[in-house]
Amino acid sequence: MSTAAQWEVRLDVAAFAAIEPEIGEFLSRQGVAGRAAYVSNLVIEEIVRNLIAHTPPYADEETITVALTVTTRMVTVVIEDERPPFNPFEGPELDVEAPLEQRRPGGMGLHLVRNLADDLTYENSSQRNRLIARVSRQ
Amino acid sequence: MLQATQRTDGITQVALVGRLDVSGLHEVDIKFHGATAARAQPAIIDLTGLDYIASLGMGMLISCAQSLRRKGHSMVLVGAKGDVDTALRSAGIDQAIPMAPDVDEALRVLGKA
Repeated sequence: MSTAAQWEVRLDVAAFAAIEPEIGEFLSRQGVAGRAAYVSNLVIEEIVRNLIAHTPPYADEETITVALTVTTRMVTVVIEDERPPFNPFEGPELDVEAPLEQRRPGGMGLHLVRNLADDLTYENSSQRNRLIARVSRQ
Repeated sequence: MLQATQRTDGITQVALVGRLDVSGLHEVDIKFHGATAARAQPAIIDLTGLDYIASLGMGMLISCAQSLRRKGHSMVLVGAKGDVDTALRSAGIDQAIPMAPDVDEALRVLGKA
């Protein structure tokens, strides 16, 4: 048995900040806690913020879809948008051993998503980006 | 939420509590910079009560630690646990900013023990 929820979000930080607590509450109501809740929240935050950061002001009325499906074993996050194709696997690798003076405050989000999600799939079809992240509840 | 502790040894001690998600960070970012980088003294950042941090919050820590470094001071992160600890280490924050299990160890790292 699975439970699902979906949000339509404008590509704007304030709009995302407004639904972020709802996502957490949905996961909590389904009994998703600990690492699974943490990583699911983190994947959504990083991917949506990345989309917002790469969206020009004239397009911030565009919306994306964030969908969550929870089963006894897994949380599946699906984020769909119609922005230009962007494959999160193709971004540069973060040098995690770099000392403080060589670090920059940004550039860690996709690295965290790639490293913390248990499975990550990117598809682009019919001019739609679709990112699917699976997070184990075990 | 941010809680600053007054110390008498010339070290700034600040606790970050709760969730550093998008709205949480918006709430503490300027206060955190004011309580750490702007004070220009060594800093201990207590993460014992922190439940969630993502790259935006990590960027804030990096930015403040770099600002302090330019002024000749260090920052130490203290008490990160569970998923917060895992996320910080996954991004290599521990390679850029020292992480200590408790305040005593942080003081030793800062040469103040």
